[in-house]
Amino acid sequence: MDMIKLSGVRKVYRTRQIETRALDNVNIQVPEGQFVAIMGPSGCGKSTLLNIMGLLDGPTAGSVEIAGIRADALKDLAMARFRNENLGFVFQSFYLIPQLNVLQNVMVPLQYRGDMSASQRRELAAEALHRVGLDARLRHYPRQLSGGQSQRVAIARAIVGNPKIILADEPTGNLDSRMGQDIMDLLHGLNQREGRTIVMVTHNERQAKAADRIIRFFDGRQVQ
Amino acid sequence: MFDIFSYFGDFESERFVTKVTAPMLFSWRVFAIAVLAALLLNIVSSVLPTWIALRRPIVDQLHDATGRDDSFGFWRRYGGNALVFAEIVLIVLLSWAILDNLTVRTYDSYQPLGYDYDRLVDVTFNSYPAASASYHEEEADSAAHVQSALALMNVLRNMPEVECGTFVKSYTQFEWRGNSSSVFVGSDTTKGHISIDIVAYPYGGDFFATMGIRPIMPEITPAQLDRLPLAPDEVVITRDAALKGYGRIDVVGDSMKSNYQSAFIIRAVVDNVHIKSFINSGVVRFHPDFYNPTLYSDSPWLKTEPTIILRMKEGVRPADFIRSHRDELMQSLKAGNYYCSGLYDFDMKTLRVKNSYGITNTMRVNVILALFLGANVFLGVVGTYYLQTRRRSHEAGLRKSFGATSGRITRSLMAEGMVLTFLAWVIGCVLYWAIVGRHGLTLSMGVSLSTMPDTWVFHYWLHFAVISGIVLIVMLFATLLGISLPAYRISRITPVDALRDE
Repeated sequence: MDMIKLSGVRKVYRTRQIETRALDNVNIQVPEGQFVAIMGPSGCGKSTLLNIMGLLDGPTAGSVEIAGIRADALKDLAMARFRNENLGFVFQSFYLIPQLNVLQNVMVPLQYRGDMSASQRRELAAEALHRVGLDARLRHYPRQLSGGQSQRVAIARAIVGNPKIILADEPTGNLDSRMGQDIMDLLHGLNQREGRTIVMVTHNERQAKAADRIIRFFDGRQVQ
Repeated sequence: MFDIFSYFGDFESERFVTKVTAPMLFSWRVFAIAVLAALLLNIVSSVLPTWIALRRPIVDQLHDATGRDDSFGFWRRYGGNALVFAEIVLIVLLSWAILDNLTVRTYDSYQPLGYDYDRLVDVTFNSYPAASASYHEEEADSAAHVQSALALMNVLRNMPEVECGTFVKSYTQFEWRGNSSSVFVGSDTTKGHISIDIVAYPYGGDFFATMGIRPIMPEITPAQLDRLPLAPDEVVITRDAALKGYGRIDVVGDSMKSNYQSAFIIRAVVDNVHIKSFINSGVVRFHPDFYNPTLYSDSPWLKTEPTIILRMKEGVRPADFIRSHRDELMQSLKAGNYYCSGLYDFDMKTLRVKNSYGITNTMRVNVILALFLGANVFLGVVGTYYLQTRRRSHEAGLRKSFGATSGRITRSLMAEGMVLTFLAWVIGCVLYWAIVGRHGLTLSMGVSLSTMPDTWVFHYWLHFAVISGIVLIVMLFATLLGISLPAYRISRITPVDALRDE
């Protein structure tokens, strides 16, 4: 079963004077449980593709199916719920909320699950942090963490809601090679042990080669 | 320098000393200080945090520069931004001062006058000067004056549009403050006393029926009250005079006494009336003036030109009556040495009296200043929340990417703002009470406190609660407006645009 299916996706950014074609007729199928690396030079449309897969942005044309559902056509409320239940994001800059401690940051996606008590949220968040090896840092604040630890928290936040898909946009881009490898090991573990589908944008050839499949982009087009 | 305080009068209650209350804000000096304070506050709330931020380690500044210095954690966000909270508290204080004044003045202005002035026309007369060709020497004595006045009244009363009419003296007309007197409740001076405004009215005519003043004790019509036999020492008082003096309204037969006069017997109680439309006065004693020319032909006031108030019949508008008859009456309505000099809509007359007192201008300046300050205060709240909310578009994008809906984000932002405003309101009101309010709240103007009716304005805590409630409503409205505009915007942009907005 295709967990992600993009058909004829185009994305055009328009201003009054300029029309920029970020993606042009992209057709991608990602089977369930696959680890996919997306590569390409800066500005080729990798992040745009990831955003469209993650329903953070809509395509100008084409369709986006996630887990067999035409997700890009969902209404605001349904899309928010779908995103919350099926997608987890890991950003290059972590995007942790500095005023919240580690546990509270990881609980953020669970705040939008109506049928869950506060104690359940805390329990699930603590469990997710345990899986990324941060049991001892629950009450720390982002400022007190290293880059690698921050990204681990971001990964815990991405998996806490038990999503089917994790979308990672250059998750090691701000980390040194050792910390970067730790994060990659973590993502591979989630893929292999838990069967999560992972789509990762990266510039790192070595990390990409460790994925099940590499999709290369150039100038908004899929070249491999 | 314009001194608006000259209109605020002297108040007698220690609790309502006005010299340190909200009306002070309407002097130019305090107004200037308020504007400078607002500027200073804005500078402090914007420059100081920047200065503090720049003194922090560069690494922390860079961390903040990622645009992630936001959260939905209420206390963490606002606890760390005490200056914004302080600004809202100060705005509550300023709003309190402005709205207290404006509310009380507006309340006074819109109180029912207690008499029916909608269908009243005021007809004035002049005398021909002795040198005039129209002057008749034989019409110059008192008896002739009486006959002339009665003749004029007869002509006017018999006009088809006229229901009834009454003579009035200039000082018995409304919009004119009668004498006020301190009277003792009961027939001796050993009991408590009240201050009461005295309005002399022409006994024997249709005064109550024409003015539309409604009797409540005994339960009779205004026309029946006009026909109620009264002796010179018998009076009619208003409901609030009865309540204030005796604590009840069934006071017919009771007496009151002033220091230098004999006791008066109360024969009737009427509904409250304002003797001036711009003040809230209801403690009035109607003192019958036995002018009736058929009985008292030497009554001194008939030696001057009469003024007649006419009540129009149902469905007749004073303006139409005046338009139809002004030229005709001013040309032909004459008797003895009197001639008609003008017809006025009573409503317009009220306005003219206000103008002559400077009240209209005072109120205008009052309202303009209040609106100006109020607009600044309002925009201050809106602007503060607008900027606070706009800064959070990045966070909104992050939340959306994890499943928050536009509505949820908008509601969260609004709820936070409401809680912040509510807390600032509580602190602001307590501070207002501690700093200013315990010395005095805004009162009605222009008359002695002791002749005022008992309204919420004079109940200290009720007054405090009413104005505090109004301040809360205004502040919450400003908060909602300040948050809803940017919240709507940031809740509608795509998460990716919001995350890019760093």
